Amino acid sequence: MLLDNKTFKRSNEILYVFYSADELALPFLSKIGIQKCIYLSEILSPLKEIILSFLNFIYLHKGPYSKDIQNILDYLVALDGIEVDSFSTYRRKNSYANYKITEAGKSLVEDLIYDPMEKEKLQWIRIVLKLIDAYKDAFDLSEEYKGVDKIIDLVYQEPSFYEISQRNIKGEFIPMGNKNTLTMELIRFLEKAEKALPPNFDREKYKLDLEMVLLVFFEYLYVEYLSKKVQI
Amino acid sequence: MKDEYIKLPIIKEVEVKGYELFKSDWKYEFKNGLNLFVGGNRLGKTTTVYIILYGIVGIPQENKNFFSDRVVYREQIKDVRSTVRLNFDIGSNCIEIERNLLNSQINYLSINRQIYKKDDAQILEEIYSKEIVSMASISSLDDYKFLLEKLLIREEEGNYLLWDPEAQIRVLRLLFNYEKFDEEFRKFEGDVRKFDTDVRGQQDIQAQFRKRLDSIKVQKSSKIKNMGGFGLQELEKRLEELNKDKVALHSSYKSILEKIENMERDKKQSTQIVHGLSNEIEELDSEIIRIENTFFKSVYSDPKIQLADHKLKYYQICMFCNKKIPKEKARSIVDEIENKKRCPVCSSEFKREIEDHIDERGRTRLVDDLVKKRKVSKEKKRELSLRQKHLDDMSKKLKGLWTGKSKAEVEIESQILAIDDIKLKLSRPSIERKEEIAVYDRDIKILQEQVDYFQKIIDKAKYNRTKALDDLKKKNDEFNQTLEKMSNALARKFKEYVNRFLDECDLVVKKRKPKGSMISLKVFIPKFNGRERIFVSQVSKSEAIFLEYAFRMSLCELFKQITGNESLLVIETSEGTFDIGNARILAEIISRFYSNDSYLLVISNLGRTDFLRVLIEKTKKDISNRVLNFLEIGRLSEEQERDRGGFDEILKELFNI
Repeated sequence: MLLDNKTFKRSNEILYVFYSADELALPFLSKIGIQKCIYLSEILSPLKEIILSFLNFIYLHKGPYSKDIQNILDYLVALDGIEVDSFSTYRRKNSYANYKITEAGKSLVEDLIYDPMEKEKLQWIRIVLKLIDAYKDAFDLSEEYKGVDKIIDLVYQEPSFYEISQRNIKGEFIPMGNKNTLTMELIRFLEKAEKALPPNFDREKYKLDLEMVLLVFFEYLYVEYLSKKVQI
Repeated sequence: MKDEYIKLPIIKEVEVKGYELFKSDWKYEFKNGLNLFVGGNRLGKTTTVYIILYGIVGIPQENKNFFSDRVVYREQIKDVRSTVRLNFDIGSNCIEIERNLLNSQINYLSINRQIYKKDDAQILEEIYSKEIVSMASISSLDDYKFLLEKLLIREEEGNYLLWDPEAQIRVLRLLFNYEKFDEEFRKFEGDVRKFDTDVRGQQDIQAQFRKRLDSIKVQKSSKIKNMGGFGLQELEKRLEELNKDKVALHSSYKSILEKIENMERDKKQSTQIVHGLSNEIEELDSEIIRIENTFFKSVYSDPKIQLADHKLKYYQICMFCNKKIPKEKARSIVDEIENKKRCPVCSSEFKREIEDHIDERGRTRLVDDLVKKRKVSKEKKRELSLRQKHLDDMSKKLKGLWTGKSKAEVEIESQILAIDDIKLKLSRPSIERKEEIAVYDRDIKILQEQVDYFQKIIDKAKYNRTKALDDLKKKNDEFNQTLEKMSNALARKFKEYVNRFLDECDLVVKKRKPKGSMISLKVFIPKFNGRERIFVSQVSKSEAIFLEYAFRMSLCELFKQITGNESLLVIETSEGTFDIGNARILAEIISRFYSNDSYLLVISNLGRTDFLRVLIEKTKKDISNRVLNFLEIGRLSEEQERDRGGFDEILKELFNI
């Protein structure tokens, strides 16, 4: 596998997801769950002014999907950064695998966060994972969905995805940072608010406060989920 | 006797023959002093006055049927030889003339006993006229006609000399001047009138040309003004404004160009800086990526991490299922990876470098370098952002300036067009002047020549009028001197006549300009109770008649006194004369006139015996041969015939006839 800068970063970010899941004592992450965690982390990242490595997501019935994630997962398995906790196939070609971070993977993350920027990314992903963990059991899903996979109903409400889902075209790219979505509207509002702050304002504290803002956003998605559920 | 004065006709005898108005032929011999024609109405008394008048001057052409019309029934006219024979004196000359009353022809003429043969009526008329003019010191028979009508015979109601200034002045001129004076006066007056008419006539013609000239001037002016919707002055003003604007616009355009030039220069510099910064950042970022890669590679090559091929090589563990595999199989796969550098699954070429592991110190150094470079990159990116923003602002401003430049160019272009348009419009009048205005100019020239031509004629006519007016004024001044000489005497006589009727009534001289007169003239007007009676409406009817008789009698008396010539005054009493008490006063006034043997004919109705009685009393002469009784000669109506006896008694009592 070609180890370029972009692949390293994508690998890093996926490792941070597994690292955070381990911290939160989440037993494993499925192929579906990891996709959702990375999608939410990436689409909301402008809130924290961090740049994630821009994975391309497409619309699938089971939520946003990036094939790069699967490749990196395979690479990380080969690297022994993560390991396959359980593996099964269904309908012949389709596989279902659960992953978890290895000790070598944890060591790798701890080396990576020597770099402050990488540390910041980990912090951001940790917050998102924390909220996913908090909300994951709030949805009325079938037995098929376990653990973090349960967050799928929340991701469906995310405005960028929701807009695409209305067209229901399988494989359509989800535009990250669509200016017309409520997500970006919220991000722009916060950007303006940040710019209006006085120069001596404690911006670090402000960024922490943003975690509260993120919580509100999750709450909004949840309310959307509930309202649609009532309609159904 | 002063020959230069007019000589009035003194009627000695009148004889009418064959005139159907009368039942018989008759004859009357005038005496100096009082003569009375009496009778009833419609018996021919007034006609007799005209028989005398037209007998002397001829029947006017416009009134040629006068005498035949007076006959009630024209078929009564049987004798075409209705004639009047007049015997009258002019000065020392005796004239005897017989005229046909129906055609005015002279049947017989004898002057100073020389009888002129009636071969040719026309020639006889000419001889008569010539002789009369000569003997009477008058210009024409018209003078006689005028005097007889206006002064000597007062038959007509409203025929007032006192309140007819034109007639009064002419009467005075005729009576109190040498024979040609009135003729000359009227000639000058005619000249003035003629030249005045000339002036007015030419002025009227000139006014027509002038009106047309003014109209064409207005049309021309309007034409020039309307060319191109603007007047020339407006166009010139507009051009001036546009030229001023042009200067301002060009200055503004120049300023825009300068700004663009400066800003483009600044933009170029900024762009270079931005490019420089971008390059620096790019280099920095490449460096950062390189360091990151070094860092990531070192991390990922940590020996603590068991790579899949590592596990396979040293522990013969499957990279997929973590289970132990045979050594030979493992060696074969590792050989594929390390030596043949091919993927053990798909056999594709394998580019994989195993990085040397970096120790912790080295890693820390790398991260510090990374952080440092990121910081620099961040700062440079911020600077780049600011520079880019500045550049964007500048581009926006430049865009605005370029738009302004384009706009200014459009404005300049449209202004140039507007200026060209106005210049074209301004040049157009000169072209049109040649074509259209020239027509006006030609007309103006022609009309101006006409106006000037008539001005010369008018000036000449005005000169002639002034000259004639001077002559007329001189003549009038001459007359005024005469008038001044006789005015006191006339006023005195007038006062003597009227004082029986009106206390303190004077005759005063007043300047008036009669209708048709070219100058102001002096006339006599009565003044009583402190007021000048300029108009007849300012006196009562009886006052008007009394004053008029007094004026005429005064004139005749003064004429006789000054010239030594006699006059015959005819007075026909009118109905308005006889108010209560007035008849006696009038009779006394009239009797004063004939008391000095002046010829006077009073024509009266028999109704006012009190009046007649006073007249007879005052005459102190045998009255019976001074009366012409129209009851005797006239054709009486049935009513008159019935009352005849009563009138005869009156006649017998008054006149013993």
